[in-house]
Amino acid sequence: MKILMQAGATKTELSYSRWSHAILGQAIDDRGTAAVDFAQSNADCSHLFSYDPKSLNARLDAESFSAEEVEQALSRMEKSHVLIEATTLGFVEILLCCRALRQLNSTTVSLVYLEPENYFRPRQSLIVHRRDFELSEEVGEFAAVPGNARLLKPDRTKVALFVGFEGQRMNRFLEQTGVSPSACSIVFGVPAFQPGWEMDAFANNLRVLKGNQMAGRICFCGAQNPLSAYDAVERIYRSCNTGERLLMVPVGTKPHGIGAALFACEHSDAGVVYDNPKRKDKRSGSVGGWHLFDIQF
Amino acid sequence: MKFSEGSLTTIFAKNRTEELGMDVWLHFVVPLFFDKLDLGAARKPRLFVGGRGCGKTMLLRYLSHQSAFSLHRETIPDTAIEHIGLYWRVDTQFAVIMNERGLPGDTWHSAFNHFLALVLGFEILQSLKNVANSKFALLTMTELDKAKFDRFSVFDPSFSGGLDNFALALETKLWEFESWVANVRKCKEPIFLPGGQFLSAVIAHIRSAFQGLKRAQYFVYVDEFENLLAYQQRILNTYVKHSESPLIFNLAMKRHAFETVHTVGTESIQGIADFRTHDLDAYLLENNFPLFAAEVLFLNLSLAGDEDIPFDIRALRDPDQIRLREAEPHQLGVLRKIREMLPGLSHDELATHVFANPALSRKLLERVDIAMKVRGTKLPTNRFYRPGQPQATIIIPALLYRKRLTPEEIAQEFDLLETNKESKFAGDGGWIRNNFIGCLLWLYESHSSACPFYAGFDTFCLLAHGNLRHFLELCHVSLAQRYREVRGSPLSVPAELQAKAARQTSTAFLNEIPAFGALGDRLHTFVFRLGSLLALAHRRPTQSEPEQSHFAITSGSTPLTEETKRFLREAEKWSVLFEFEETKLKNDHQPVSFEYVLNPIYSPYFHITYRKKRKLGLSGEELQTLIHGSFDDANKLLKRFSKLWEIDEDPRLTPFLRFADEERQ
Repeated sequence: MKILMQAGATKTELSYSRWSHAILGQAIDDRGTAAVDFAQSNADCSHLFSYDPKSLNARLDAESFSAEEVEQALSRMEKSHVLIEATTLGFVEILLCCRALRQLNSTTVSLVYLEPENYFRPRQSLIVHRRDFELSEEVGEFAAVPGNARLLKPDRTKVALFVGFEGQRMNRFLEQTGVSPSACSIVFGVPAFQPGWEMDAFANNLRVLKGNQMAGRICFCGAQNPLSAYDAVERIYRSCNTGERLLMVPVGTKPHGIGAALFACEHSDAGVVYDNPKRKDKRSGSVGGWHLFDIQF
Repeated sequence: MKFSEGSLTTIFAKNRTEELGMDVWLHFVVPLFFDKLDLGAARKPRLFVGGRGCGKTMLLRYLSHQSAFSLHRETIPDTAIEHIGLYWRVDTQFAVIMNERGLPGDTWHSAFNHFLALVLGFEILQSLKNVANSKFALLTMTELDKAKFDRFSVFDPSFSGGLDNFALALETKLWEFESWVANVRKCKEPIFLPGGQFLSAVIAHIRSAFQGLKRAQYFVYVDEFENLLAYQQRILNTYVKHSESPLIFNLAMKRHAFETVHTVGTESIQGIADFRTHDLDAYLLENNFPLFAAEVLFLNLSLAGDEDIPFDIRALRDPDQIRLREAEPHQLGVLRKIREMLPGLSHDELATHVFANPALSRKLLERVDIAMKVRGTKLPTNRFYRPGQPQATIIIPALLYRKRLTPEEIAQEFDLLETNKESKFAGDGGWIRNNFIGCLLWLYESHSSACPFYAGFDTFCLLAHGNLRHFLELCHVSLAQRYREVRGSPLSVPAELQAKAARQTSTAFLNEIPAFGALGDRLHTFVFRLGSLLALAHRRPTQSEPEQSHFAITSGSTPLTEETKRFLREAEKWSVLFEFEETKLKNDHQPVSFEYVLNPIYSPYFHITYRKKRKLGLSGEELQTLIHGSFDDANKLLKRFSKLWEIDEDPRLTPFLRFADEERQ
């Protein structure tokens, strides 16, 4: 697999050609709206895609189907040039689409991602944590993703845990699964999207790291770099001993989620769990940097 | 004491059972309520209920074969075989996707039964190895090596041969099943095993194949039942309902988590008839929690290398020693030792502490002066500020603010107290008894050092409220602080350090709330709002209702919504709140209602009492604002109470309002 990365302050700094299809999610903030506009105006046709973690069904426009049937649903995109709009799509949706498109031998899959200029820092959160960004409305239980569902053997699992601003998600994962903190490698997005944001991520995860004596298990990948995230996962995967398995928990930045999703596409033996947060409307403001990732499977 | 800070930290860091592994025998202290579980004779399924940190998982793992036949055990009685525990914490991230996905419900039903058969079947075979490898005399590895399981080929052709082959085949089937669940559309559906029937067949074969196991009884312990899907719970309920020797199913869950009592048939499971409930939280609180908590601490210290333990630690692991542990000599020795390590202060000492601290005594004098000015009294200050009567002086500002008392009356009563005559200050219903702690907390509010009211072993027991994890963390942080100060000899931790540790621990546990299930973030916000309201109530200048630690719905026209009731149940489930039947009803005709106490572990953070003293009456609307209201609504509510209670201190000092104010600036 090849991952080619471009970045720019605006879309005009990116180099790309027109796509046959664009797959989008629902825009909930400024950058989502900008990303959807970009995708719609640069693709011959666009499709709304979503995944429901309760029914484990996916939906493409008006058509609903099982999460394992994404390949059939996207069959019209076989051997096409497809754009996945990763700003508005969630992690599981990106994984399901990438895996299906890989199976369909799509010529090139591109992912566009727009950074936020700033995150919504709500008043409520100031009551509790000075550095909390209220990004999710309600966070669910961690659940496996069809296609990469693996039984968890807490004593024979190595975990790649990508973390972001929401410190409670790492804690929830440890609570729910009973995985030993010593089995986890914690990946922070450094450099962050903007200078100083990494301090928010550290501060919000610090208590869990300290409480579980995980200080020696931290590594860093650029917050906007899926390739670096992919490499980090690969290193952990290769370090698994016989009988050990890799589990990915991508609750960090979206580019890290893309890296984890691409790795999961190529390694069905790697498990993935995700907590499918319901993202808050207007969670971020304005549009930051633009990223275009071209994937050649 | 000969242990390092490192070993102390490591042993206490493992205060979650999951980190100890399956064999917890070395780490387990047999609880004093152990006999109530009636493990010897009763064959009825058990339902264990308890909040986080009550030791539920630890108990289930102690009952499992890994601990019962632990290599650490020097002797194992022949009767141990009549209770072989199979611990099963279902992998919920995996089990939750065994649903929907275009497959009919009965396929998932069969799939879950198959999953259960594979996991527990494998566990039964593992138990045989553990039994044979242990000091248990009636089964040897040689016997086990000769065993054949060819009969099981009727279930699947690969189930044959010896124990290892059979176990390997089950593991292979589990892998096959895992792949199918991951890709139900792409992989061939396995031939599902009939769950209970398969397990019963395995157990029957074992009982007939091994002379030493002919009385073997298996007890399945399903932990965290509440995290399963409804159909999975129904299947397990069915196993509970139809449990019979030699295979008994038992469930463990948090409070209010038994959401379905239905089985897969038309029946439901019902308490008493189908299972016996064991409320572990209640058992702990009713059965000398301080002694048990102290013993657990001493076991941890012993495992960290401390040689100065006042009793033989091995007694803690032996159910036959419970009576001896409850006897006075043991109890007194244990409690004396732990109170030396974690001394608390009497009310007199707490009061003396104030006068020994120049900043606090100055603050008290200022408050007395201000209150005298408010009441316009011309009496000299020394009629009210008398360092020789520290407790009484500390409550003086509150008394002066009370309009129904004249300054002269207070001064006269003070004279009587000082001359050892009967006065309104002293005695059971006296002013000191009713007001001292409330006034002390008010005095320490916004003071930089922590109030030593939160120090002492007995206080730690009250703060923990039956939660061993909370208790151990309070002790660990206290001991670690002392260790850093004196390097290696934390024989006795000063009250100030303990109080500081209590505040740190309280903050840490407050920050854990967002991880409490799907409503974690909302529970966190609610605790912050409620804690702030109670903190405000503690700052009333008159201290007319000192130490309000809990609330009840006492007024309002709007009934609580279903969402609010669900939220309160969730708060109880995660032990954020504790529910009690209301204790003081105004009249006999009033229907029974409930009081809710904020978990006392959060009280040092909010600087409020941990004692269940007085109730704060709220209307239904006010409670709903605390739970669901916007930031501005909650802010308005707190300010309204602040005005009602005539709190004229800077409102920014209250945690909630402090942040609100910073934001406005």
